[in-house]
Amino acid sequence: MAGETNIREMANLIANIKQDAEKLKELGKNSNIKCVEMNVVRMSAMIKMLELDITDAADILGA
Amino acid sequence: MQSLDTYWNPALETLPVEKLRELQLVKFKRILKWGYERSKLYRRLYEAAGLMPEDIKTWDDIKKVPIIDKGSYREAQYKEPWPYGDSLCIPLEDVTVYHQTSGTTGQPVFQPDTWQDWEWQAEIWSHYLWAMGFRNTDRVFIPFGYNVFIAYWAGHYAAEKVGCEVVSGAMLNTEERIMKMKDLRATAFMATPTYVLGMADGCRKLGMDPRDLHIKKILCAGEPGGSVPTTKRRMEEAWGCPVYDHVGATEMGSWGYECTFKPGGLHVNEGFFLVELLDLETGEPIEEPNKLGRIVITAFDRMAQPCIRCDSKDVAMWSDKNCECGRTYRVLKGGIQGRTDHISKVKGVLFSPVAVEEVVRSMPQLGDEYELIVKKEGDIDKIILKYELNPGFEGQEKEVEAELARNLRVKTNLGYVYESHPYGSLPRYLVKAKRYKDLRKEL
Repeated sequence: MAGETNIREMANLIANIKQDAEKLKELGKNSNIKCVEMNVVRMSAMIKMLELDITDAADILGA
Repeated sequence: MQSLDTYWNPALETLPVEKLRELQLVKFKRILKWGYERSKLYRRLYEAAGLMPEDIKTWDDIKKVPIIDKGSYREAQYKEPWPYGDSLCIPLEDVTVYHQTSGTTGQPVFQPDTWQDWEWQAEIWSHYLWAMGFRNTDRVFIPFGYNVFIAYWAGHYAAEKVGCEVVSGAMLNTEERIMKMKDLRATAFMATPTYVLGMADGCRKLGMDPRDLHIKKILCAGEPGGSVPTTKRRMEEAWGCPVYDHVGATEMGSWGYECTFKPGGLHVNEGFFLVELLDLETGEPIEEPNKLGRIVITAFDRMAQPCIRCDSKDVAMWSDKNCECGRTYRVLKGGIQGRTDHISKVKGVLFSPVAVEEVVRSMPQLGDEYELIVKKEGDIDKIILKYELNPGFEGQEKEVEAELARNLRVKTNLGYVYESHPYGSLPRYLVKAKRYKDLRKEL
């Protein structure tokens, strides 16, 4: 499979984005700003898809 | 492997087979644990079988996991929380989308999805649309009455996701849909095989050749016709473009699809699903090609109401060929071959209605619609085939019935009673057709 290094790099970026999104959601929740919390729910769903598409493949390839 | 642009996700779609199996096992264990820990339905089932998630260590262990079917969800629905019951794995307030099955085989099953599940639906469909050549240059028309049935909802959102322009044809009748497709110069649409043929007929009634709409591709779902060669040929000849098949179910998600390389069947989306074929008699897993088995599905990543080893009641066989597209996903030869609840013995012979469809649709004298009724007369099974002659073939009943008898004898090894009906008089369907009735089961 082409680009295994890129896949690992992508997986690392996805992990960072996930972490940031979770932080943002928590901040929104604690500050009672609903639009932040609920937009991150949607964002997190997309991040999850990237995990299923890329991170899972990277992990299994040991890339 | 083809150029990277062939794939929505080359990382998964071209994963070496041994890595793919490794990934599937990891994902199977993950969803099994989730179901066991979160759903009373699955916990009950697994405890009764004396099974703990950690008992599943190898590929062979998977067959120890009990199989469920649609009925399992139905039973669970009678429990709290309403309306999903105790198959639900998440708090009720996290459910964002409701759908239900059509109820063809009993009380409808209610399907909850979270926003993540819904994103997942769009994601898996994106794989299929991309594989079928849908791109941002496409204007996709969806002639579907958006309602409680899941049907093309996910197709709609996936088409958006891959960059297409999407036009909903929800509240329009067939004529209005055709005119809208023509006016907007739609390049693609999605429908059941029955409706693809029905819309072609609708075009002709309006004095148009469907080919004049310049549709470039059609996605079929909901019925096996998209993989029945003669039905596919009829659709492709009528519209002058490739027709791609796709398969799924409300409670499972969409798990199989055809790509532009047309592998002679359906790819299984093995990055997101485990599709097992089990021997019709023994229930043992089938790995070899060309042997019919019932399809048992696990959706790895659908979380609100997981689908873990669910009997789809569909029947298929593995292909012995790899697809030229370079995907390492296996192919089901000829797509779905029938349903276990439709395949039955008639006059002592194993009979599948799909075989009749293949014969009817191979004869240009016959219209697209037909009906097949099996009933008992005394102790004898009788199969009645109601058909329509296409315009221009009136008065040829005798010759047509002789040809039907020859072809059906070869294909099914059975004799039929024929009934000719005037063109346009048999029922027309907007979504799934109900052409097969086994009245022996109603006795």
